[in-house]
Amino acid sequence: MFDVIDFLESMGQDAQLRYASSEHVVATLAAQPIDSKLRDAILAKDALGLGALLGQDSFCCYINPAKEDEAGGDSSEKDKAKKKPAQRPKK
Amino acid sequence: MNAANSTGSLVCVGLGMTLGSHLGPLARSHIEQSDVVFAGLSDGIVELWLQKMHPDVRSLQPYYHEGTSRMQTYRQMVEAILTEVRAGKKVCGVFYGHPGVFAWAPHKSIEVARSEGYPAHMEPGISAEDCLYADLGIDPGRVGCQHYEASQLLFYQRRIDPTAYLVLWQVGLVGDQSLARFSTGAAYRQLLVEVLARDYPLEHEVIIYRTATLPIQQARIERVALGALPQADIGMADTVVLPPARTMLVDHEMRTRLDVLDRAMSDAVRDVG
Ligand SMILES: C[S@@+](CC[C@H](N)C(=O)[O-])C[C@H]1O[C@@H](n2cnc3c(N)ncnc32)[C@H](O)[C@@H]1O
Repeated sequence: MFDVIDFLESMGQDAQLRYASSEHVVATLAAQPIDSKLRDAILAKDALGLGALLGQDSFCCYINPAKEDEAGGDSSEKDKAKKKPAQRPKK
Repeated sequence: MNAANSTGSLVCVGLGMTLGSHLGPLARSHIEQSDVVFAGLSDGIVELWLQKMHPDVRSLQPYYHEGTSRMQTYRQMVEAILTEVRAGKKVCGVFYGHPGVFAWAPHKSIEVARSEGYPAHMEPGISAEDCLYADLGIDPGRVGCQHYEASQLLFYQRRIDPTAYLVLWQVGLVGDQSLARFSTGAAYRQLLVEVLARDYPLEHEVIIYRTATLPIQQARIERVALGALPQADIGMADTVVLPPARTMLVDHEMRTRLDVLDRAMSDAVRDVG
């Protein structure tokens, strides 16, 4: 069934909808079987609110370390605290 | 299982930055035709979109824990991906943007898979960098463009060329030596400003940029003075751009040598003719 994600997908890939006026989006949304709260969040361009309604927390987007192979990068602060003195992080 | 007679394989693809707008047909086909999909995305709603493309999408988000070194997190992600490859699955790693731009885990997964004899490759995607060129009207070929992970300007001695553009990634956690935090703060950005002030005046305009991940959003394009960067609101997904502060200097000596070379070449052509 067509849902809010399908709507966002069509919005993202349609040259008219992607940069449409609010009136156009209102009209397009009105024709879809989408919950009114979700509809309001879309019209308000409220990404956080929309995420909350869809049960999504904010995501971590880091996936790149500033340094790879030095001491400190390999183990967590917690792990380090737990380690015995003899097991110092490798240099 | 021995890799030589295993059916395991890996492809890492980019989903692009904006839901619905950037995913290419080949990447989409890899997603649809794989056995297992791993998702390294920056937006939960975008992950819901990916789930519509495949019944077995495994989010990499649960691996993140503030207080745990992200290096460890990234290694766990690589291990999770490789476990399925080793089990003979056709695995697709889906990452937001371009899977190979400021992205350690996809590169590492491919490297490890190949080293174990499995076919593995990457398909490009539209990165934050690509969006930035379009939204800010920057052509990296005009005067050049440098890209740095912001913390590296503090951890290491780097040489910046202020006659070219400078793009700084991951400014939100600049200076985090533990690799275990999700953000640092004003005092850390102050040190970044100190480093940058060696090459740029404090009044120099910098651009805080964030492209839309949902089609209902607009890009954030905020201009502040370099000296005001510590107080600015900078999150995980913000990229900071410094336009050039000076014009390129003419290399008179090299131009003279080129003139000499040009003359020698045209003399040689004349002599042959
Ligand atoms: C680990 S990198 C990943 C980049 C990603 N692979 C790509 O292709 O753009 C994370 C950094 O990318 C940049 N970034 C992520 N999302 C962004 C967005 N929506 N707009 C601008 N830059 C973004 C920020 O500098 C962020 O700290």
